[in-house]
Amino acid sequence: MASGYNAKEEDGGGHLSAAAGNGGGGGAGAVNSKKPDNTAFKQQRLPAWQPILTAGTVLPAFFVIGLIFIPIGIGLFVTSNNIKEFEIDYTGIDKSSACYNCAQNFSWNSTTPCSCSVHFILEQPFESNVFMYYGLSNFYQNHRRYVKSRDDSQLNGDLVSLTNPSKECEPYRKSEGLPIAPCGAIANSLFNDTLELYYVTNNSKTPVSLVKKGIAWWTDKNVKFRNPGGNNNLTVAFHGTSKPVNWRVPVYELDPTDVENNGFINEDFIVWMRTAALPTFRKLYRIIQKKADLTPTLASGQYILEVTYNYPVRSFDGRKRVILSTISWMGGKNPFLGIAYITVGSVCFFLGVVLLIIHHKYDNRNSSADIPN
Amino acid sequence: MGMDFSSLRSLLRRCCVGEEKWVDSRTVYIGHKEPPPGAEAYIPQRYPDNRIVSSKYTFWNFVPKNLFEQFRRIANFYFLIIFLVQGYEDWLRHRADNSVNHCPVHVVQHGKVVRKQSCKIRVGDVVFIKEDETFPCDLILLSSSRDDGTCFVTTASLDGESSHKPDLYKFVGRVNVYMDSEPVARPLGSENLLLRGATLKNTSMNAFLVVYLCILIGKALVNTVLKYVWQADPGRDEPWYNGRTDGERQRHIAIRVFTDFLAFMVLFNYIIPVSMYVTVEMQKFLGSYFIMWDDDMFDKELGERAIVNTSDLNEELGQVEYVFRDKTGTLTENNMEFIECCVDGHVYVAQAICNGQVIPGSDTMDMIDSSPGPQARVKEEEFELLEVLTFDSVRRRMSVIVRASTGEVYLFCKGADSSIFPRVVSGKVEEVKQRVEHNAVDRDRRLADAYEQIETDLVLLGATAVEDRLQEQAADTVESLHQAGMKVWVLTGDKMETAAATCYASKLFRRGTHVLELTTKRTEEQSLHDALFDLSRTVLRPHRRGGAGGGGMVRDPASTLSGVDCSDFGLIIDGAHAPEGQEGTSSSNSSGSGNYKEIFLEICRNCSAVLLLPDGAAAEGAVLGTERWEEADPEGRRGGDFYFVNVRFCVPSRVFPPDRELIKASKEHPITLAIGDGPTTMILEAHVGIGIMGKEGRQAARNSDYAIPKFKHLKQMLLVHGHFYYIRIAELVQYFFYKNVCFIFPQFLYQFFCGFSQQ
Repeated sequence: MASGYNAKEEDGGGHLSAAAGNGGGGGAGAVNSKKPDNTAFKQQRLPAWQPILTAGTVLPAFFVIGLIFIPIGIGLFVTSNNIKEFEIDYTGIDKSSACYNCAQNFSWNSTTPCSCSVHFILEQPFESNVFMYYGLSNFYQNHRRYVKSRDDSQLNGDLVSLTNPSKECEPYRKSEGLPIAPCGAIANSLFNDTLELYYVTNNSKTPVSLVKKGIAWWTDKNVKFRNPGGNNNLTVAFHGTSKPVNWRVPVYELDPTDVENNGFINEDFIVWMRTAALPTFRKLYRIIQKKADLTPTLASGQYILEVTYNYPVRSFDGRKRVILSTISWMGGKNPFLGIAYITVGSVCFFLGVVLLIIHHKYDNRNSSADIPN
Repeated sequence: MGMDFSSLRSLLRRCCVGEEKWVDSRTVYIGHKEPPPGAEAYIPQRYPDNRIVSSKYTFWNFVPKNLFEQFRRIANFYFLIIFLVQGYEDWLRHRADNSVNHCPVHVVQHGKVVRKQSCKIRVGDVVFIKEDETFPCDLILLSSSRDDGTCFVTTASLDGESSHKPDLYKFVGRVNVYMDSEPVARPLGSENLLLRGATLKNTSMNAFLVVYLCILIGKALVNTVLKYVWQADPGRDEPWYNGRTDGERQRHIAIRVFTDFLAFMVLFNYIIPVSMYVTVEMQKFLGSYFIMWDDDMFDKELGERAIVNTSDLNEELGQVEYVFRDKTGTLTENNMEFIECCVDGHVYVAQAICNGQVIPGSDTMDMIDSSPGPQARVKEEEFELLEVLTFDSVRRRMSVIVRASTGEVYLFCKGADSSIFPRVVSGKVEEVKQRVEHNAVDRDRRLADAYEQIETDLVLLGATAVEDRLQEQAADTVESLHQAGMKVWVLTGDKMETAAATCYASKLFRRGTHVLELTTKRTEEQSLHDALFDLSRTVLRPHRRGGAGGGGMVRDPASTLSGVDCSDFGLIIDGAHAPEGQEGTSSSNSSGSGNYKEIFLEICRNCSAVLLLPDGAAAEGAVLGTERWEEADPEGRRGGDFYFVNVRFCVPSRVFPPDRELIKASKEHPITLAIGDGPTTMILEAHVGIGIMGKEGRQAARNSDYAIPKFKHLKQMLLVHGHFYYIRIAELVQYFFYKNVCFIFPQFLYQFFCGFSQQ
């Protein structure tokens, strides 16, 4: 193994004894007081290891890396491929698409919500829990002005911030003289399309039950977001505040079906408030729990996605989509990691082969193992 | 003030410390006595006190001065830590100074001898110095306990030579009421001690910073431009979900662009490694402890270990290209041993004539050796001492005139052989000379005794040989330095043969070394111009040297070198020829001198070893050398390298005037190191100064950047520690840049994904 140990020779206590023997009486004390300590640290003798790259070390290293990485990559890739994912774009850009009218006729002021139904067919059944996401494109949730436009203490239930939100929320801080709760651009732009899923059998629609709890982080729901004045009677608690300008309902009526899921601790709201890092992102919307019996969670067949079209994206060339996905131990579908592993492993292996050929063909020196590559 | 100095006690007067205002005339009233009425108007003069200051700061000016120093640099945010480090180092210097400043001295006050701290001596005090005491300040000898009123001074703490010298400088003052011989020992002011590393490093660091600043501004500009290009679409600039406030909307576009630009600057500022200053400084400071802790540089005999005075220069130790050193005390042990004596052609070995003969010299001739080599000889005790012609470095000999009991008057003269032989008329010159040559080659110093009846016609009595052994492992060290590619220049006061022999012994010249000479002998044959020209041709084009006509200068037969790649040159320079060479050139054509300088530099650079012999005037050179180093400093300083050496030895500055342009044109700026045991300005002026803690004198250790106990430790210092620190600092700096680029580049890329919003 060609490696250098960067440690000095121990020369024992020779110095010490010699010095002590040399000076007699008072001199010995003076000599010893100036004598440096013979410790590994002070004499820079601490063990150190510096690899020296030689053919003997580099070639095996390349092969080992190649042989380790390629199987890992294959494993990841296969796992990722086993994850089923289905994506529907319902923005309504094409005239043929179901939501075209809703997209065209969108107005903030319309009181009647526009609905559209998107039909799609699942070729394969989805086993286990299925996660339903909504995805937005070209939506800059990572814009600096947008990201900081929130008041975390207000979201944490602070009563002072409730009535006097942070300046960061401007221009979404006050509306008609009342403080906005929740204030800020992020809250104001809460995704408010309603998505419902139906399974079509024999021309009859069977609603797929969507679970809206458990989609937010536990710490967000229990620590970071809290309603002002506890969870009892949110109407009173939010009295004196105004709803965000683009919202249709106040924050304490976000979920009419579940009182516990209202106010700042509404999970859809919490999910939205955790801003995405890239302009194309997806956020968890619902979970479809697997069934108790052995039938697949989503059987293959025809489905209808019923959309209440509230969220405009045309103005900034955005796209909206719905994603149905299963997960595995490595998370959602992500073929990149597997491909990266396979690529690195292959390159290493290939380089190893090339270097091995070069080494054998052109190395005519005797001590080949000691010559650095 | 008619002073009969033989009857006075020793009255010594201080001149000045620090600034050497030799030009000023001073009126000093001895013993602080008021001038007698009627004397010229008394103007009280203020003189600095007698503190030795080798530290840069004082307590009260440390904060402002250091701040000033720091803020002259570009990046000055993190300097508090450097501040503390420097403060700590300066505190150590203060401590060293204090140990000197508080040593007691005896001062005559109102007729009584009073003890004082040496720093409290005032100008005008009369100081009483006992034998073997150190002079606390610059003094003028008023009287001594010796009958002839002279005194002998050991200049060990100045130049490391433990010889006794009757006078060092002619004191040019208006104290001509006194005798001619006024020994003046000047503690060397080190106010010109610079923290050289700091300035040197900062120039290169500033270059880095400028580059990184350009990158930073460039990035910010690119991003700003892209931002506004990207935002041209209103849907992107201000989508419905991400509105601006009214105030922001009304802001002028120029202000918006400017604030965006600044925001990008803030975002990317990390690319400038500001914190690197502190990290590097801390690394150096803490790292310098490893030098002090090194067991291998601990000297058992002296009980000393290496001292680091300036931690800025650690990595420069590993980059040294030129090593200047003096011989005595540095290379050799400075321990004269009597080897043999040759009288009338007979050779006596050491034990035969023991030194005891010399030392008990009777009261009439209580002569202290006045140069390192010779031992004063007493022929017969009944001689009566008439006069002593003291040693000086121009004549390179000293004489004693005695009257024998028979009534005849004799003059005993001793000195260097080169100065004695020409004056010798009889005696077995040849044998002695042969012996002397032999000894010289045996790297001994030798001196001839001569006997004279009339002025110049001396009769040679004999010669003594004294050996000054090389320090242990000196040769090994020099060889290692050579192998590491460093060029070693030696300066010595010996004559050429001795010096060359020393060089061979210390492996400065090896067997294969191609020795070139630029000496009196050569320049007698050729003009300086020709000699230089030939030398340069020899050095620069060794393979074509054969027919070049430089054969006269080349010792080795051409045949031995014909097949060898003789890149290994040794050069011996003897300053003796300088005057005539200078006459011929500078008077006739001053513009031509620049060429000589270039040629000379070129020659010197291509030699791996250079041996410098001072001319006759500088014979016992080192003391005078100190003076001359100083004269030559301006040139050497500007050169940033070895240039002052030529000025000093080869041709005085008249021929090689300081020529800034030329020196600037020499691009390489090699790092130089000076080592010695005296605080010569050589140590101060080279990039790295290393002091050797000699048996005498700690001035060198205090004033240098590093101090080591023995010459052999230089090897460990340069080749181990210097190398370590060079590598470490290089890796540290590289890692810093790598780190910063890694840190900032993703930020830069992310701007493309977040709408250039500085997120």
